[in-house]
Amino acid sequence: MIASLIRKDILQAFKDKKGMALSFILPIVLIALFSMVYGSFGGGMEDKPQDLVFCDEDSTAISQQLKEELHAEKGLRLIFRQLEEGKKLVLDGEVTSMLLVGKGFADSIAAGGGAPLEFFYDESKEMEMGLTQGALLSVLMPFLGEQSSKGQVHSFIDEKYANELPEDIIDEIHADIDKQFSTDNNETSVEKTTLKSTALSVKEDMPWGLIQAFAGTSVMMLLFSITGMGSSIIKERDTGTLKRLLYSPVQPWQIITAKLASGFIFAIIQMVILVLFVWLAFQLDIFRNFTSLVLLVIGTAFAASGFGILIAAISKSQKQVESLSLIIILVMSALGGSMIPLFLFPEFLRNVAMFTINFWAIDGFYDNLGRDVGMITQLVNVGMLFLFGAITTSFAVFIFTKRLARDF
Amino acid sequence: MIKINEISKQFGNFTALDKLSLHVKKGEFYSLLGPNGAGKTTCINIISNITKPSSGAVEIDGLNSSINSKEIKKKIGVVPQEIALYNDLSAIENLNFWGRINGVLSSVLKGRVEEALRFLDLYDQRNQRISSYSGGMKRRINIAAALLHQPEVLFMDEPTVGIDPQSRLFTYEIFEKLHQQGKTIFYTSHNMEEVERLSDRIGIIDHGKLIAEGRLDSLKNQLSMEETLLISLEEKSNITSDFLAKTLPDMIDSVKIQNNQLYISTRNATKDLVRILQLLDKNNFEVKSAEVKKVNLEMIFLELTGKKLRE
Repeated sequence: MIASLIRKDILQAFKDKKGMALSFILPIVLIALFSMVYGSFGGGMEDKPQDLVFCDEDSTAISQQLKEELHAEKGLRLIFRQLEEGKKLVLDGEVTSMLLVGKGFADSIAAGGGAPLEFFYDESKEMEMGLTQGALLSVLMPFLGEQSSKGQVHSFIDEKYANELPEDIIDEIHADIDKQFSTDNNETSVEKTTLKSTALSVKEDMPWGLIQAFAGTSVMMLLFSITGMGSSIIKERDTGTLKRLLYSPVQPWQIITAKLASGFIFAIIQMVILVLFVWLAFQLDIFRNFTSLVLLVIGTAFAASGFGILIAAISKSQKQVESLSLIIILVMSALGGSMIPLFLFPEFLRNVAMFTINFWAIDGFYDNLGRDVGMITQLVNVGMLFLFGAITTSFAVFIFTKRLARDF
Repeated sequence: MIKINEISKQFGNFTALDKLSLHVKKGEFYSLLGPNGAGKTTCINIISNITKPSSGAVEIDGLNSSINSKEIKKKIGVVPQEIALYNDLSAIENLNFWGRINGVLSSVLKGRVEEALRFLDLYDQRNQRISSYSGGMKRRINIAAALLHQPEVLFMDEPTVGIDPQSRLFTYEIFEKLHQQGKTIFYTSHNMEEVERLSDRIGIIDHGKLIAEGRLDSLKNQLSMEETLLISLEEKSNITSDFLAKTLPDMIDSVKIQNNQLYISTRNATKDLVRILQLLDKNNFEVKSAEVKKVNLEMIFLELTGKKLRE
């Protein structure tokens, strides 16, 4: 009986061309699109130089030196403008940010005081601004440190020995100081202190963007397609086939179990196709923790099918299923990390995210495909997904059987 | 074969069935007539055990429905009022599914589906989706889906609603063949002609109560009716049934008025027609048409319930 019901549901699902396109083609397109956005192929955001307007009101040798050093930085592409013109470019959204080197820049540095530098940015592009700021600071901090130190040593020599030593000796000392700070003199120059950053990853060039795109999109689209499949209960009630099933020897629990099982099987098929897609199209290594990947796919499919049936069980009409599922899935996807990577969330929202299927599935796929966390940690995610599935399934069966008793 | 003993069903304050009792013999074609909301579908739902009665009991072939639900469901086939099929599946896929669900073994299912499709003259369209079928074709598949497991008892809940005249006649032939095969058929309908044509016995239900039951002849005898006068008046006539009954008490047994139509039972309609028309003319009631009708089911129904069947 249950096998016949499952076979019928799967057959119906595969005959629905629109549903097929939404379940398979759309997620594939979205994964490809989002992986490009998140920067897994074709160059990441970090590799693309950020435009920076450079406005030099000081026009001294020191400000010129700063301009050259910024120009040499790969992460920046300088655009030279006057202050007002540069501000307009930022306001119009054509350039993300601008660095103003104010008058007295060189003197302030020589005196060891605060440099008149000002950074302007487009408020609507804070993420890009962060990238520009990172590249800018990597040049600016050592430059200002060096110039400031050099200026302070010169001032100290002048104050302490100007009246005690002959002028030619003082000049020689200044020349030696400049030589010591000179970057051309590799043997004697003061070594710059910079923070060396090394990305720690299981393998070099791990495609995190692709993993985020795959995990986020596939879980969200899975929830949509399974909810659509679950809503066939409502359709069956409206067309009379549910009543006809009840006239037959089939029991209500068999009907709901078959719906769950067919949703689960469909979810597995959908996940397997998407996993195969990222493996074949983007060479994502899916075999590094294959057993736990299989468990994760099963867990995600189980949680999604339980959720889909629960939404159908609590809804009174097809329209209600559509609107309710749209709201819940979008909220869950936004909170759970399908749309925006979780690291951008405040801590409070990250805690709320734990109540979503998306969170555990996405985190699980990160662990499985990107990190090297071991089986036990991965099983926690799988376990949480099974828990979600068990809770939603229990509620769905309870509500469905109660509703049947009331409706007929 | 079917024994219904004083079943009642309450939905909140609404009484759908009120101590309904009836018996249907093995191989009998029994029709239950009643207006919308009379309790026909509730009755079928209770007999087929998807709705529990508030009180009373149902037996099918000696099996109590509340105890032997599973066994009963194997013995019955239900043709629902709705076209309860999967529109995106083909006819053959639908029949295969409903056959399996009703416990038909795979080894015999293929043969039975083919036989049913040929019997219903739909074999050539077997691979078409149900959504592409006409209303009549859908109705035929809807009936076939209830026959595949060869049930002993068939419940048909208004199975010819919305069907075209040609398909209707074809469907009647199917029902007659099933009846000839010895199936027990419990039938509900709005259509008097099909009930008159097909039924062995008729039950009339209103407000959840069985108000009359028997063969067509015996129903006529119960009401002592032979002929009825049917007189249509102009639209704005304010005639009352009392007016005629009181004016001609020696002649008229009963008068029913529905939409400016008078249904008058007299002892000799042909003879009394002239006197009644003269009376109406004298009182300025404009008559559009008048005819003497042999008593049929519709008139019996009107006489018993005070309303037309399609109300």
